[in-house]
Amino acid sequence: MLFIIAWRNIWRNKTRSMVIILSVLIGLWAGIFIIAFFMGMTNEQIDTAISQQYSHMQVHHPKFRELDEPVYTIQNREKVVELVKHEPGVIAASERTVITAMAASAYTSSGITLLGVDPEEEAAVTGLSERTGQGRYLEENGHNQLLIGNKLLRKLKLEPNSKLILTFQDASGDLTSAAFRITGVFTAASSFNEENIVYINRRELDSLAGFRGGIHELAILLQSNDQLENIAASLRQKLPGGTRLETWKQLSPDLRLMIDSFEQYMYIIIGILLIALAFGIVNTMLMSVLERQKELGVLMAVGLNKRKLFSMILLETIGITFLGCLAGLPLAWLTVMITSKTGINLSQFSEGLAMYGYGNIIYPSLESSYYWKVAGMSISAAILAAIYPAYKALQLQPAVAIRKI
Amino acid sequence: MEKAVIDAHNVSKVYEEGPVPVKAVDDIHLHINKGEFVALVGPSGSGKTTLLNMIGGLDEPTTGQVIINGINITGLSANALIDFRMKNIGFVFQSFNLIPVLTAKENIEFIMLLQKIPKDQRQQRVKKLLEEVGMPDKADVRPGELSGGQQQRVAVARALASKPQFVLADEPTANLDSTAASNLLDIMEKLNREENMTFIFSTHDQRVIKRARRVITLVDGRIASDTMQTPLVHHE
Repeated sequence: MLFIIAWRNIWRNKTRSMVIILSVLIGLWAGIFIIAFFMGMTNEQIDTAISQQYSHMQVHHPKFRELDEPVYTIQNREKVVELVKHEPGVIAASERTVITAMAASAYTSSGITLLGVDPEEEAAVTGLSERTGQGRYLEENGHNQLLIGNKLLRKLKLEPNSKLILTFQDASGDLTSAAFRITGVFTAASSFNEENIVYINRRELDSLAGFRGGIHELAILLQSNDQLENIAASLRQKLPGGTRLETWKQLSPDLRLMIDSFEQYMYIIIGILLIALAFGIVNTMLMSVLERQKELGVLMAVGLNKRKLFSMILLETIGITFLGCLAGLPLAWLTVMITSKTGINLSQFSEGLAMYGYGNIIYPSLESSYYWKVAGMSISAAILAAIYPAYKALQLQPAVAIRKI
Repeated sequence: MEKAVIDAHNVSKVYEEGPVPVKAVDDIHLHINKGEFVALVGPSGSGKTTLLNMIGGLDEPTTGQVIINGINITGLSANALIDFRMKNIGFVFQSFNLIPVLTAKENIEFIMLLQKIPKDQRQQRVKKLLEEVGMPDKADVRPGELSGGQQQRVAVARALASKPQFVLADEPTANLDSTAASNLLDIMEKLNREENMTFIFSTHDQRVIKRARRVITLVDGRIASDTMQTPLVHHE
């Protein structure tokens, strides 16, 4: 009967109840969509970072990333490469030499990271060949070929087929310079990569710098990011000493932080929305209780105890919120589902987005567990919001309340 | 002599909410026996409703004790008092205090639900009570669609639903026209006569006073007179 009374009480003042239901609906819809949008952006950034920059994991000499010295090449390179390529779940691996260099055009110069790669391997790991727009991709046996980012090209005021002088330190510590011709221009989601990375053929860099077949970096692409930790653990056991394997989470602590703190951001966003909603609910339920003092007095007089009275107010509040959730969650799910397929075009802000490694189109996405979490938080907020109005109801003296007009 | 169903000993009520304490009920002794049909009368502010509320456990005396069927309800906790009211006392209030979102049937059934009476028993009793108050056809009608008199009749049925020791009625006819008031009193008289149900009214309605067998007059919170009378019998 308490359920019946609570349910019918919700519909006594339809306008007021609908306002709260709509508030919950809009609040949930907006909250979930914002979270899905942020998650879409985060996923985009992770995907981009994996597919264009870090790949899933990399192997280095233990000191290479700390000291950034060309001398720290991977020991037992052949064995390492073989182990990695035969590991189940690994679909491609790219051997790289990595040197900090200076790129100079006739007009200006810029500090860069010079990557010596095997064109075929690199294309398989980072899709570099597909991202090469103007000009053509590096050839396996090409000479003095160089791939440059679109942004660096503009910075150096060059055009495809222009000549570029690269100066770098060789394995023995001496400065070496060589002239290359810009074979192709690549694009990257990250403007940092577009402005700072230059690719040449590893074979050529090897002979210029004297690495004698040594590599600094082995970038590994997996079938799925879900296998990341398992494969990393397996490879760490197999790899010989003098190597260090790191996943993209270790290679990019800022990305890892972003993911780890995503849930906290979600709770903060939803928390703020729910606090605002809770005040609305408190206000509505308080009005409802104060308007019904006489009726509540009668209920108490005829035998409704305080626990049941409290439950009745609680049920009304939960009922209103539940209806809002019932409408808001499917609407949010539908919006996320549609936009996850169509994407949200933000090309107007492409410059700014590219700076942070985002593409022009964001595809919102959200795991189903978040919907339940948000619904649970909403109901919890409703329960908290019901406490004060219910407390006010419990304070009523039946003899006084009955005489209220 | 029948055993007293209600015993009020030295009951006083002082309201201290304003700057000057107000003594609404002043040292009242009262015994009401099973099956009585009592009217508490007196001018406004004489303490009728306050006394009725204390007898019904809705208000607590400042001093004195209210004993119902040997139980001192003055010392009961709030929840125990609610439970006691539910099981022992029926209420009929002045302005048709039914639950507006429940139908007539549900209003009557509500107390029985609180008492955890099985469904079939509840339904039988609701049917019987609605017949007794002459409203078997209004079972599924909500209070808003009933007249004032009909609402009060449902209120009487609700008051009787828990099979109480007695029914307290605070100005039950105050908002009713003559016909509705007469019908309501007929029903209550019949229940009193046939089921020996004790009724205690607070009223200054002459229509009620004439029907009462015992009239207790309050003046300034004290009992000014307590007389037995031959009621004006109404023939149906």
